[in-house]
Amino acid sequence: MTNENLNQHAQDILSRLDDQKKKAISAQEVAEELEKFLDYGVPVKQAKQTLLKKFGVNTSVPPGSVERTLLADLQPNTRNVKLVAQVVSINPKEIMVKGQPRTIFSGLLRDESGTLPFTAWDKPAMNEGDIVEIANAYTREWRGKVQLNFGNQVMIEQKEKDALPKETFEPKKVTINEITPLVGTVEMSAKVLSVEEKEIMVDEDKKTMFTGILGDSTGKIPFTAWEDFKLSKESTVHIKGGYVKSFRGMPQVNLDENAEVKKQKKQIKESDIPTRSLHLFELNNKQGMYDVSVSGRVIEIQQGSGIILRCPECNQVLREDGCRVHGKVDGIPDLRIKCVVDDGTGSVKTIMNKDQAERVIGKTMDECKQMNPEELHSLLNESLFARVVSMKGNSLQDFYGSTFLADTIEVVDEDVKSKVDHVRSLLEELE
Amino acid sequence: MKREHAWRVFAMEYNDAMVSLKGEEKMAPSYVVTPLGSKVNRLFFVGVLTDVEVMSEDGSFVRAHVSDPTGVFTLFSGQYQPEMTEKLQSFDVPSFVAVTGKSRSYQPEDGDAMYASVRPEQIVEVTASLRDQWILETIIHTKDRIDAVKEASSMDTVTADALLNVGFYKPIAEGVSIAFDHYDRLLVEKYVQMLQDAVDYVSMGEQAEATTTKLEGSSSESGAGTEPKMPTTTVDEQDEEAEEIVMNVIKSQEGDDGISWDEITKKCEKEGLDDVRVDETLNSLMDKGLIYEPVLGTIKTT
Repeated sequence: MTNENLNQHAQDILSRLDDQKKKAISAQEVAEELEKFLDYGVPVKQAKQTLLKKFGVNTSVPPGSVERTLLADLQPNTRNVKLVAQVVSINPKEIMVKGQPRTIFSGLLRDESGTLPFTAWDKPAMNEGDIVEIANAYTREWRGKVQLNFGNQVMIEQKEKDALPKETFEPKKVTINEITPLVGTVEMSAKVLSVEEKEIMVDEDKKTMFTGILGDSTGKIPFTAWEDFKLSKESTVHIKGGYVKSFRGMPQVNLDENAEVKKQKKQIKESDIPTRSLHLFELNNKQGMYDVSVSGRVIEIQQGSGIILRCPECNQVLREDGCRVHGKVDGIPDLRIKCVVDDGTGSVKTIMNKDQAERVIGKTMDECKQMNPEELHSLLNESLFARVVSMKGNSLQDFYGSTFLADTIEVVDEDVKSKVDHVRSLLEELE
Repeated sequence: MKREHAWRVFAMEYNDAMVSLKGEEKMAPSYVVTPLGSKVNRLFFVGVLTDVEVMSEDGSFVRAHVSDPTGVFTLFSGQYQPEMTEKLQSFDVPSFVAVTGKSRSYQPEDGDAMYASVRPEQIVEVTASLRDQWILETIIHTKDRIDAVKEASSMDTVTADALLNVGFYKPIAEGVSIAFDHYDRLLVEKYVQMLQDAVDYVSMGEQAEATTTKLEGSSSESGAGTEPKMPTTTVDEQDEEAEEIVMNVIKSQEGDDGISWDEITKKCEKEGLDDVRVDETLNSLMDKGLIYEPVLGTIKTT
């Protein structure tokens, strides 16, 4: 930090001291004290707070004196956060607190630096589209990400549109592989690979929505449209102002009344839209991924594989004492294989359903039912353990790593002879 | 806590590891770092199960060896994995097995040697073809690490980011940068030769399979308790010579309490055997029942 900056911060601190204290200490001394903290890598804001406390200033000050933070700069576990942002979305959410249902509100904010989800314990005084100044919010860390919370101290004030710089409202030009859950609003060209009309109930009103898949030369991504943009399969569209939301860590493009969707002449060819082929460590690094292909060896067949019983009411797998929700029920048998697939760079969990399982083990579920559990487990190991499987589908991220939802899964039989030649030519590079 | 992936490393590279990283926090994972920058918490390998030995009277602690063309993995399973401990004892030896396991390391208090072993989580009997597939796959993974070590050797400061920038996979970039922090020098020649030998081993097996009706390739012919032989004509003689040297060292130094593994390695190095060779020979002598390990890390003749 330059001396000039340091003095500026020292002056800031001085200006908040009462007169008696001001006389007792010089700007020079304050700057020196401040520098000590900064030398240890304490962020300026915290260092200032610490000094103010030391000089007896009540730091739980009115919000007006706290500086605004950009969403992208928010650190976890910070109190007294002040923001200026636009409300991209806000929705009620029912949760259970100590066995009691309670409604909280969650949504997405954006400013010129990006977007961030928030959670409010009571209904905040703001609506979708509003530009607001939010003071006295706080942050926490949740699974490695910053979570913004509004407690009962939060203060919300409506602002004019010019409270945020113009670029905030301008969508970012992206290709599909550049879309992350926090990118905000986007501008993009893509082909509509599929589209489906759905009717859902929103607050007892019937509403029509459209869901489907978009693709460009870098990948594919799901979308949801809340308006009828007359999207048709096979057409190529230019989208301006769609916003990105994530569902279980997988980004999706949302199109509402703020989005502009136009058909474009220049067509994207379906053959140019790849199913991205990834190493497993790449899945573990990223958010959920839509339509990718991966392969690896099965290095573990997990407990809960084989014949299981499902609840006829809710389809949940029954435990020994019945269904968690519906108690004692007559379970419906099903066949599944839970396994860990690993390519030496990363690993992913996957669950094969009945059809996939029947195919890879070459036995029907009825035949499996005749076997005792140990026999069946041996058969699963024999058919799968240490073998290469190749899968296409979507990956989800959770706390423990990635889960792969495979649309297709195949056991690959590698030809050792041809691979020997490949390996020999690779080794020649080493000489 | 993310699930740790399973590295593909040959026994030689794994057993050469001299560095372990222990997590500071409770439940933090620990790693064995190999000289080619595998940062191993979990590993997966396919080889020949050569022996399973019950180490405690009540049968709750067993040691097993799984051999690949470059060396031998040592497996320990104890009272906390009763199912695995029991399962290990049910296998016929020799047989081809695929193993998923956790890395373990042991450092005797005297000296700076380290012994890397494996606590098996999964073990399943497999075919010879899967063994060959694993060897080829592991050659490719090892070659990637050799490339990264070579590249890193030409860098002023080795960081994971620098290696990522020139295109290495994240796990390799991280592992190699850590290996550079902990090893004085990283030599690759030995491992280049190891890979060459390993691919020869698979080709030989392929040919053997083509000329005999035996399905399991050449390695099962070596019989119980010995290594699959490397395709070199002088291997037998070298083995015998090494065994003689090692036995002489042990006999002359063991006294009543035995001699530490470390000590043997040092003494034998003076006789011209490298540490890998000594490890292999000790394992083979143990398999033959000529020596045993009364305490982990200490050797006595029987």
